[in-house]
Amino acid sequence: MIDCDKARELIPWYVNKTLAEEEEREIASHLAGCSTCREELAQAISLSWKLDTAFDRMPAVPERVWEKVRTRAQGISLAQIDVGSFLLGLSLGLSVTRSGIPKFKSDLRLLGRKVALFNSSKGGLK
Amino acid sequence: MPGTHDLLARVARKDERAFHSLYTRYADRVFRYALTLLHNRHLAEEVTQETMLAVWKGAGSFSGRSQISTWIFGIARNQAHTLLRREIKGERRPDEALFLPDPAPAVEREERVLTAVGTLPEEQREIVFLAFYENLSYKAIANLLAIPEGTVKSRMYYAKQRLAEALG
Repeated sequence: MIDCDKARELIPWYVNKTLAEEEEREIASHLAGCSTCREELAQAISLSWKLDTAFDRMPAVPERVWEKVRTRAQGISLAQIDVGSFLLGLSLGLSVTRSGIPKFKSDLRLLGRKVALFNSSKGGLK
Repeated sequence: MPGTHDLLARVARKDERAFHSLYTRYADRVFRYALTLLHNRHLAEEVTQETMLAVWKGAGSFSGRSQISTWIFGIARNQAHTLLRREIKGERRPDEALFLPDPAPAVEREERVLTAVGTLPEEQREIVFLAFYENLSYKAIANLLAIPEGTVKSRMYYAKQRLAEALG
């Protein structure tokens, strides 16, 4: 059996219906025999309703945010394929983005060091 | 209507329609949560944007150990705190009144409630939001905020007291 202090702690979550079954049973049993905590419950229900309604009146996210999210999500690279020949020292890269605009990149290796030749995402020839 | 888990699984496979549905389901809620934390619309927009992009990128890494909403609000909270640190470092400080009402005619009582919530310390505001608007359990809130369950309950206790005083 729980006491009033414990019941008061749990009442907000009794109101939002997220208590575990056992806690819910305990608090229901306490409330049945405690008018002070029933009053506390009534206040919590009223406050919960006021808060839910008030939060719901807060502004909605502006449409422009979706546009930004969509545009940036489309720009995130889906996959990258690299083909090349180590022996020839040449590597060609193709990465595909959600926008459907492929990005090409090629590198020439000279004595094991990469020399960037072309990167379409950075505006072309270097 | 598809379930949220189904939507998230499709987002992990880069299904754009599923992502739009998920965005529609969560963006306003994330925005309002960020607004509750930050008191600034511009920053709340930025948090919403970064959170939803993180969901797009990280849907495949969702472990399923928590509710999806707890996971998303956790991302939003991290984003909000990152932005807040940046603001406090001097680039720009939150400077807006918190609860600007929608352009639609405002209801006086709701404005009073939001004003009262706005006077609570941030740590109490977010608990009130997560419990009474998002209907999260105290365990889920403790998990999301990485604090003991007892702390969640005591913050709620003090928040309720202050709101009762303010609202009569």
